[in-house]
Amino acid sequence: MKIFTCSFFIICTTNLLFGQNISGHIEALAGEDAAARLESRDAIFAAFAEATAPSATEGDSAVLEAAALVEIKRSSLPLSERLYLLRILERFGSEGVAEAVYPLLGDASPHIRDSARRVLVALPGKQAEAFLLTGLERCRETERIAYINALVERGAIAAAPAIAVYLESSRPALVAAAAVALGKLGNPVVVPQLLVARESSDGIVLEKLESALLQVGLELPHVVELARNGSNGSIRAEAFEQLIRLDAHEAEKLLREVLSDEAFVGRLRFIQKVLQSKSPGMQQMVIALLKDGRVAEKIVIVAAVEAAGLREYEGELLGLLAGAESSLRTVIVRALGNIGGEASFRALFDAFVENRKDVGLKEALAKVQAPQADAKALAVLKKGTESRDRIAAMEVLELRNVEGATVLVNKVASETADAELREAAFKTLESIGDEASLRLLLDFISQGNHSVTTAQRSLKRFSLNFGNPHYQWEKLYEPALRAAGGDAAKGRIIEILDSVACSQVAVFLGQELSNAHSGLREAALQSLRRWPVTPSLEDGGLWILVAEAEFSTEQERSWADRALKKLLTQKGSDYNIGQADLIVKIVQSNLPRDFKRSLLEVYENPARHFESRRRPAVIERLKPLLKDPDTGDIIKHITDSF
Amino acid sequence: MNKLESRRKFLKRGGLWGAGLMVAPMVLRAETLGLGGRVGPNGRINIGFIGMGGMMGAHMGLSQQAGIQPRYVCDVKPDKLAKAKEKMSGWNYEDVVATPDYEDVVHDPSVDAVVVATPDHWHAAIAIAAMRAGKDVYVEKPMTLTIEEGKAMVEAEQRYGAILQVGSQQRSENAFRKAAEIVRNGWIGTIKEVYAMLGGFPPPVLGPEEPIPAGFNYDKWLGPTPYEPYTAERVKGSYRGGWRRYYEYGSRKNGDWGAHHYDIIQWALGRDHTGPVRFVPKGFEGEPYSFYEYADGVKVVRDHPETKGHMIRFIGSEGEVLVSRGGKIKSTPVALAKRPLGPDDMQLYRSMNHKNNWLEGIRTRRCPICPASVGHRTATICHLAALAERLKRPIYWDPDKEAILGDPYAKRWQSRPRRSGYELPA
Repeated sequence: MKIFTCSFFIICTTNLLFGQNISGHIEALAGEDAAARLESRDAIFAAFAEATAPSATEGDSAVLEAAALVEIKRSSLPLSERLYLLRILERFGSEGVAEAVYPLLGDASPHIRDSARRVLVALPGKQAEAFLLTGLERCRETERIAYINALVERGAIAAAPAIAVYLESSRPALVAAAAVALGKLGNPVVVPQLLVARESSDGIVLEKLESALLQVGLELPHVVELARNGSNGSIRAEAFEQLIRLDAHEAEKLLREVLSDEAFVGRLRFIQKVLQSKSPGMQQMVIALLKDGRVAEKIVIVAAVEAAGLREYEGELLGLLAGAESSLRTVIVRALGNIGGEASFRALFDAFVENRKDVGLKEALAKVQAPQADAKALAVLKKGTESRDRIAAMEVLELRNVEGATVLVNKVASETADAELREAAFKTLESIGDEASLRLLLDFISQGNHSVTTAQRSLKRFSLNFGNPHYQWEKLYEPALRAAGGDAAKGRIIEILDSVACSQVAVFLGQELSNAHSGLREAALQSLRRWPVTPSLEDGGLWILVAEAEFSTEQERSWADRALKKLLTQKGSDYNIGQADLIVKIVQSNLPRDFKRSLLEVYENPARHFESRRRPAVIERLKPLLKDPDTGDIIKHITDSF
Repeated sequence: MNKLESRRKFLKRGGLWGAGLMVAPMVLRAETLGLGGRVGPNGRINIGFIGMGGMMGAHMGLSQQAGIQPRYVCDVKPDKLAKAKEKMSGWNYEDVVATPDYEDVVHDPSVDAVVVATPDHWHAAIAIAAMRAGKDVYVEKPMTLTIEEGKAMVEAEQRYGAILQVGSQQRSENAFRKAAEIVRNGWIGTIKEVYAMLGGFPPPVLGPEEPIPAGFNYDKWLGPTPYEPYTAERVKGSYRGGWRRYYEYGSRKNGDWGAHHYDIIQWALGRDHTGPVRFVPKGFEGEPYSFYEYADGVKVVRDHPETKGHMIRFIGSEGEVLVSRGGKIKSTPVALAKRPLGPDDMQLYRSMNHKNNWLEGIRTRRCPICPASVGHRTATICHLAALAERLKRPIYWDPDKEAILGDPYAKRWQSRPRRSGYELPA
């Protein structure tokens, strides 16, 4: 009480800035205006935070604490605000606050009592702990567990004996709470009481007592007892883990018993613990289960071998692979990818040749450590004479993206006269190519040699894989077009520009599409027809150009009509803004009135099509079109429906 | 009809057919399969869904997978609970039990696993109770409300041998994994800075007390957090406010988008089991942006305007990589984003589907891609960044000892005392 009185004296007799400001805010907590109360809360928080910063002047926070305590004790403040001030003390109170808060443990309000208890949990110093211990003895029976937990939250190791008293309670909930608390505190002086309580307990209380015993620390015989007869698998496995550390021989003995008893509770956890341990003898015992154990256990063993990185069991895993049923096989393949070597590579590759669509095999093959296989594949591709062998080697290199493979495949693709080998090289480059590969394919297409269709297909796939279409257009495609000799060469590149669809490419295509005399118009149209749907719907503008052009054929107008309707009705909120922009372009275009109207009449229920969060932006775009003589009524129908 | 469409239709048909079969009560728990309480490779997984708000909408879809049997839906809000029950009935799961008490779910021995999608302040208590009861857990991100809760979660995961997946599902997206592999393999040189775009929530509000809706157990909703009078806004599930705007129930945007992006940054930098050493809030000594820093000087800046429209931007000495949801990845040099990995490259844990990765873990006992130990370190960053912002001062952190340094008042925030009756289970 002395500190509180002293602080109160300070606030009354000094003009400290902190004290003056905070008192006003604390008083404001009594107001009706919630926003003002929140503002005051924030100001109080900020003042305390500042006063308790490492850089703050000593004594600043004492002034604030005193001011807060005065108001907490006045019942004129609403309960929520008294609780808020207690929360502030819980976060920022100093050791000295404990004495002033202690009487609140007996407050009439359970909320105040609980909050005061929490303040004592958080405050530093021995006094707060002593008050909680006193509270534990004197509290209402209904609040005893709360005090036990409060002491645990403080990490009050010395309180363990006082808590252990309640292991003798007739209330199972109290015994369980005491057991949990003693486990968390980890003070070994209470082991005898825990062991005694275990003798007469069952169910969840027994489980908590055993768990506490393992946390506190036990001697060997008790550990063996819990590993063998603990009340659940977790308890047994935890005890077994301790046993491995305490006495490997005893652990092995017990493991033998467990492995011969399929119904042993916690068996699977034992298996996992063994594989995590550094005990080859016990690991061998578990690995032996791979021969004739149950599939479910084999799966767990294989996954644990993988997790522990036990490369020494690669052979055992390989031995299982051939006859394994599907779910076990999946786990083995993945494990071999992570722990396997050359032998695994061979087995996995053979399996891959049988089933090239198996993604798991592909992934495992990319990871397995097989430098000899890589070196062999590189050598065969470089110096081999048989196309078949060189193609197979490329497949390995593609799967594993071996250092130096891309350069080599680029070389093969550009130099070989063997069409089959060249096409295989193109295909490989779709996965492991680089910028040089893109250039090579563009040159190839431009020159129009054999295999041009294959090159176009590979380039298209590769470009889509590569991403960043703007970059590809600017650095690769556009220069290639400029360098290409004649319309035929350019056309072959333009045909596949949809693989680098972006606004710059759209501008380029637009120029060709609006030029009646361009020899590249047909190629541009071909590319436009394959244009992917993007949120900006940039191809919409191109289709308007096609539909507007006097020289367009009926067939082309029909394509435009279909494409525009498809774009306007593309589902998904990502497209809504692009669709609004497209509507604007249609209305402002030179298309015939009926064509425009038929396009805009695609929305039976516009409110359903345009997502609510997109509607304000859509309205903003469409509003200027409301007076359009040709389509204003349809635009109104759309905006009115929102 | 293309191949993809036909496959989808096939799967959908299969799913519905499977759901039809599941109408018949089939609630044998995994222990009946002889795996000592664990699900076998082809065994059915009985799941309880806890916290039926917006996030759970996506998770409930698990019920339509073959081999999954929903057993419970659980929420303290009666309207959410009724809707969830109705949805399950719509999927022909008439037998699913609706309960407001998560204890019913975690103590039912027929339940193998639970999905926890409550507000953040309930994640740890429910997840630990479930693990203690032998269940596997999928818990929404951020994994915890406090750092000490995180330590308890990691301990529980280890002690009870649970398969726990934190809902940081960006780890299971190709583009994020690829970005992390580019960074981890040093393809853009030494990382200097990382920018992460988080955005903001509106500030908290304090309204006049409102009547608690009938049947809503508001005290339980508050759980371990301080008592505050009821307002509808406080308990509302909303991505633009609601409970997410209050520090009492989370770490605001740090725990929201931060829990995703910081998680990827940790992964990419190879620091899943450690963390930064300093957190500086925006405005401190004129700092234009909040940031945190690792011991080697790598700086992670929040909401830097130069993310170029991406969610995360890694800036290295020899290039950069930008990555976002929806498979968006861009790199300089440009070819990196496409370059496949070889056997000598660091290849990160590969998960194509976050929830399926968890289910696979349940069946094989293989550690999932985002276990508690990883989720805890990410959540720690979220909490410390939020704390620096709240206290308006730098926080110094020892990632080895997991302790705030040189600031005893800040250190107190590593934990938050819990309200009586809502203690953290052991």
